Amino acid sequence: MSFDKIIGQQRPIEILQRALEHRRVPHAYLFNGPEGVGKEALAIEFAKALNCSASQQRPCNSCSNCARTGRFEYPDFQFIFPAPKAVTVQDERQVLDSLVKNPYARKKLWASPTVSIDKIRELRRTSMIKPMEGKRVVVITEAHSMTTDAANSLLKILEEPPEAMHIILITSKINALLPTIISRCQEIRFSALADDDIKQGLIDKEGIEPDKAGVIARISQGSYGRALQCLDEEFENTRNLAMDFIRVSLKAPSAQFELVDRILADYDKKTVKEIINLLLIWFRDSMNYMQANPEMQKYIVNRDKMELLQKFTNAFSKIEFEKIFQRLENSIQLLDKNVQMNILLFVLLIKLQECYLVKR
Amino acid sequence: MSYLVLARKYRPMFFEDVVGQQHVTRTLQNAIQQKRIANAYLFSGPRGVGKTTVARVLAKALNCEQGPTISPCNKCSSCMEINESRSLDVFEIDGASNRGIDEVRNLRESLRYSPNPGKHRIYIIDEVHMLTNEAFNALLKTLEEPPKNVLFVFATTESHKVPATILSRCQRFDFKRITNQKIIEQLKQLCASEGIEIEDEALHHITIKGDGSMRDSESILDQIIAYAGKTITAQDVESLLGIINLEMFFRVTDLIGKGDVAGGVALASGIFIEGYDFNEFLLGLADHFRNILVCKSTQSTASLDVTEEFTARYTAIRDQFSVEDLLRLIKISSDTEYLIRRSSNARLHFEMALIKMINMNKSISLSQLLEQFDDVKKKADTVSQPKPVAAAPAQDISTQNSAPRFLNKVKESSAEPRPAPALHDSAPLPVPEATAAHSADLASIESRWNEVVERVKKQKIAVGTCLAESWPTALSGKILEISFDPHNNFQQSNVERNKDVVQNIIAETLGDAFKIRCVKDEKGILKETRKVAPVMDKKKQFEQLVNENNMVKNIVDTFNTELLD
Repeated sequence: MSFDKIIGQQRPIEILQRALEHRRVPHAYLFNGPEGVGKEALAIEFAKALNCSASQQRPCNSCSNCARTGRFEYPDFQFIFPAPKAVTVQDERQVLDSLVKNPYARKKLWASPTVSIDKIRELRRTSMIKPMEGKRVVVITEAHSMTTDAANSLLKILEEPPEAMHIILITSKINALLPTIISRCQEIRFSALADDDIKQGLIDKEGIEPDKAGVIARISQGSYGRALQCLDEEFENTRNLAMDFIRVSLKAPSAQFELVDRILADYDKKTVKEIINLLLIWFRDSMNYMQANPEMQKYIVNRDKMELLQKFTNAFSKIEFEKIFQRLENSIQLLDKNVQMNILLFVLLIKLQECYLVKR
Repeated sequence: MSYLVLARKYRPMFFEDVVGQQHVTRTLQNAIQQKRIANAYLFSGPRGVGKTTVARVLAKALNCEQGPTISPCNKCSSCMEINESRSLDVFEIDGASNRGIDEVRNLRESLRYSPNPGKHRIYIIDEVHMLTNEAFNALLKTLEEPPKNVLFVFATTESHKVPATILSRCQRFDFKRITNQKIIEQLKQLCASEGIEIEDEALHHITIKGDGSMRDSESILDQIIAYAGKTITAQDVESLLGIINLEMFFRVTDLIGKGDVAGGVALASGIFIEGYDFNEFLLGLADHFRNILVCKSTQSTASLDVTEEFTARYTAIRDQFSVEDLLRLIKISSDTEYLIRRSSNARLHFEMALIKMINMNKSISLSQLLEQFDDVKKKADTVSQPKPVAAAPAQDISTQNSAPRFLNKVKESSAEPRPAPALHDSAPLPVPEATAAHSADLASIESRWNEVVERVKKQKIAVGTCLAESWPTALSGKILEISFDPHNNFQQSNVERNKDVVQNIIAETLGDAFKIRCVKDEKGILKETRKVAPVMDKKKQFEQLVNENNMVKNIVDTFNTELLD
């Protein structure tokens, strides 16, 4: 196989390969799919393939063109990512270096950066110049974070770029893109990765032992990028906090206060969000477990915590899952709106308790 | 020349080639023939329907060496120059990038020069909605009275963003979405000249996805050619575009019929792994339910946009669902679709929705229920079984026997005609008459207490609000004891200060004068009563409902229902 650096994604790879074979590579692609499934990684590989000097159909990964593209040093390869206006060259290089190291883990240095109109104007200027060596390949990642001005000024060049220029837009939120942008591109949909693919990826690329890789693969919900985040030591810690949270949700307010204090003393908003996400997974597991159908067991994520799951679900005659999911979802949205976290967590605990119906 | 996408390769060169915009092209052709060319045109309409294309054809038609002509030759140097966008007289400007006042000033400078070598200077400003306000305003004068032989053509998808002063200076043409039929014809021709075989159903899929836009449809076709080569089947299109086959939706209705929750979760997981879009699936599912609904309520399949195989299947399953069920299912789908759009846990909500649909109880309409019950009743009558005897109103009973008061009150709250024996079973033993009468008085005051409170509120809102927190707890002679929250002195003292007002209103309401004594409720009676109080209101509401609505009354009578909560 070529494109062997990519995990899963057979269909997008096949589409791209056939386009290369048939010599029908359009001037604009739109890679659309959830975060962390390898859109950027495949875009980089595809850029290599377009300019590879050894083969017309796949990146050889040994010629100088492929190597330089992979290091973002090929003169006709441009990788545009959202960044603040006053970004320094060092910071930009830092982001690119993180991609060189692992194309699945782009460093996110800023809170909510955008792709500005200046970037696109610069792109328009450079595109008028003939490419230096081969084909000009421009990747714009997180295309939905282009400002309206930027997106509109991309339109003309996206429709009729100069010869030998290819633009690849990448997005996880296609609804946030202008319809006029989408209409000018050929869309390629990326799916979430299968658990087994992620597991294999973790074992092969990161050297994780199979058991741990399995658990993380399931928790990551089809996103390799998220799986990589879960490798962190911190993550195991967060997971324990989430379990503690479940435990104190059954207890008296004093214990709850203590836990909320502990969480807020040591951790930030990101961790709290992570905890709530883990709670969502936990309750989904409980729901599957309570269906009392062996078929359902295979969808359980926390398979290493089966005993706990059994103990937890046995304590209740019924749990109002729908309310719980709504409440958790709501909490995540409130977190983004910067509500006070101690109140949020405490209310969450109270509401959880209301949703447990104890056996008589 | 390297590979060009179809949308660029087959960009129309003549007015006649532009698909589905006859109302525009004919008008323009006539205008050229009659030499009535306006000095500014505004083309608006959705993406990919031919705005820029028509603008270019117009430019060629006017500047063609044979022209002005209604069909540009596409051979002369002027036409060629425009086709290759290197004409000195035709400026195609990207309005989104050159949107400031400076760019407009430059443009105005260039207006002074006369066209050379063509006959007209033509400015095509694409995406004109992105110009800044200042830029628009700087254009106004020029636009109204441009120099001789200057023509402006604006193209935009969002004409509402263009100021009214600009709009009024332009002749405006609204481009329409192109019908699926026309797109299919065009794509067929295109495939023929590219030497590609394509199934009709595949074309159908493409046009649905293309949504009335020629460029979208062409670029989808392009992608499919790149994927499948020279022969294209419907399956290629489905797998490439992730079009969800109707088959999947029938699986959902099957699962609902069987009540198979595990199957639902498996389906959700399958959809997730396959990379289908949950929102698209839900929209499709809602459409599927709508199809069943249409099929059911019209008893025909005429208005379904599906193949014959599926019309038969719709006819087969239409009786599995009631109209109410279908409406509920549609609501669940669309609610979830909305939820998922904002959420980061799409899969979970999708699963929940499927489970909800599968676990959903069949709904029975009220009228159906009554009908069914009528049948049962008729049967019962014919066998002449004694009907359940309606008891006297419970209120009367509660005055006759004095159970502990709160228990009694609960009974009152659920006072509906019901079989007498049942009540007697649960009612406590009768007690001596004297005390009974006594407590009955208190009970009647209690039953009208809310009325008292409301009246006080009307007169003195502050006092009334405080009084609402209290409850009459004892009656000795003509002195009524009202209990207040022991932890909150404010309400009690407020009522005490306004004793006269309260006493007057009690006298008015009850027709009997009482003196009130405010006490602290140390025994916690208030707490229990408070729970009862709102129920009293509900009871009234319920009674009203029964009286007003015949159907509800019917149900209450036939089922001996009682208000529980």
